[in-house]
Amino acid sequence: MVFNTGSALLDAIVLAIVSKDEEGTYGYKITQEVRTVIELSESTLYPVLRRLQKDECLEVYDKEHAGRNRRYYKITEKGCAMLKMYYTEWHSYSKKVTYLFEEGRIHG
Amino acid sequence: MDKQQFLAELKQLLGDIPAVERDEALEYYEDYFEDAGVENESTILKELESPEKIAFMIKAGLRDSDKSIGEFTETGFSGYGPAYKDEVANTIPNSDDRGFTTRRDGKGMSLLLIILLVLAAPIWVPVAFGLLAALFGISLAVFAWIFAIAIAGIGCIVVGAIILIVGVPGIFTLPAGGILITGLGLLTIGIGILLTMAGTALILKAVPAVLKLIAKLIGAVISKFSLYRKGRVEV
Repeated sequence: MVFNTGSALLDAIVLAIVSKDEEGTYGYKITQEVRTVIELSESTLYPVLRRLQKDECLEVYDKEHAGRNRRYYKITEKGCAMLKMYYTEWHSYSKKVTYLFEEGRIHG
Repeated sequence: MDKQQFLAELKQLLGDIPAVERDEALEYYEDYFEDAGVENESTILKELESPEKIAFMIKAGLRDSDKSIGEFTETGFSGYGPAYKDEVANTIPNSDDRGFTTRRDGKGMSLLLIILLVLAAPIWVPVAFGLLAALFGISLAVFAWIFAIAIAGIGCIVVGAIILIVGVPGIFTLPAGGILITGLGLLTIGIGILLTMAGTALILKAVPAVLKLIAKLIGAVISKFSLYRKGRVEV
């Protein structure tokens, strides 16, 4: 992608992905899903998840899977509120940028 | 390097962070390898680059999260990461203070404002003049309208009286026509009285109201300016 993804946007994307699953989801799956939207190296995601967990936007729990414990991430109430705020911000921001582009001379 | 070596090296590299953090991170990456599956192990190892890079990112994340405690508070969304925020805070002194309550900002702002006002004089002087003229014109137009209503009322009374003078003698010569004309005269006088009353009431009410409004506007501008000057005097 030609555009940089700031830490706020990455937080928002991660929160959105985790919030999709009521049961929560796990690190590998989150990475794969984030990658459908933006380029991301795995080394970037873990610190983000850890920080969101410390900020109480995500909570973790372990669940048995294929004979071992897998760590699941689940969105908290605070995380939901955060996601909502990000969504509002993004909505108005992207609308303004889109409007500007459409006004610009891109129609040839 | 295989998965086991990778994790062992990572563990060693994370030797200087709290045990909780180290265990968390190692668990995460173990999970990651497991979930990716044995068949993807080499791809994952390539993607993860090196234990050094992972360790570096984890440590950077720890420093960041320490710094960013309380960043996302009720004041809302800053739009920037902690690093950028620090940068802004460093380049703009007292960027959190508002107005001229602090010595530094007060001076900086007043000087800036004066320079701005002087530089912008070619723009704001004509604009201010234009606005003032427009205000004056609109007020005058309103007054004129009200005045016209009152004058029309008086005119109606006069015309009605003349019609009455013509009509009343007519009753005796041509009763039907005379009564009609007299009636018209009375009607005109009635309309005239109503218009005059309306005009007078408007003049009595509207004129002081408009004058009050103008006085308030001027007062507001002056008080704002003097408040601003007071702020300057205090520093």
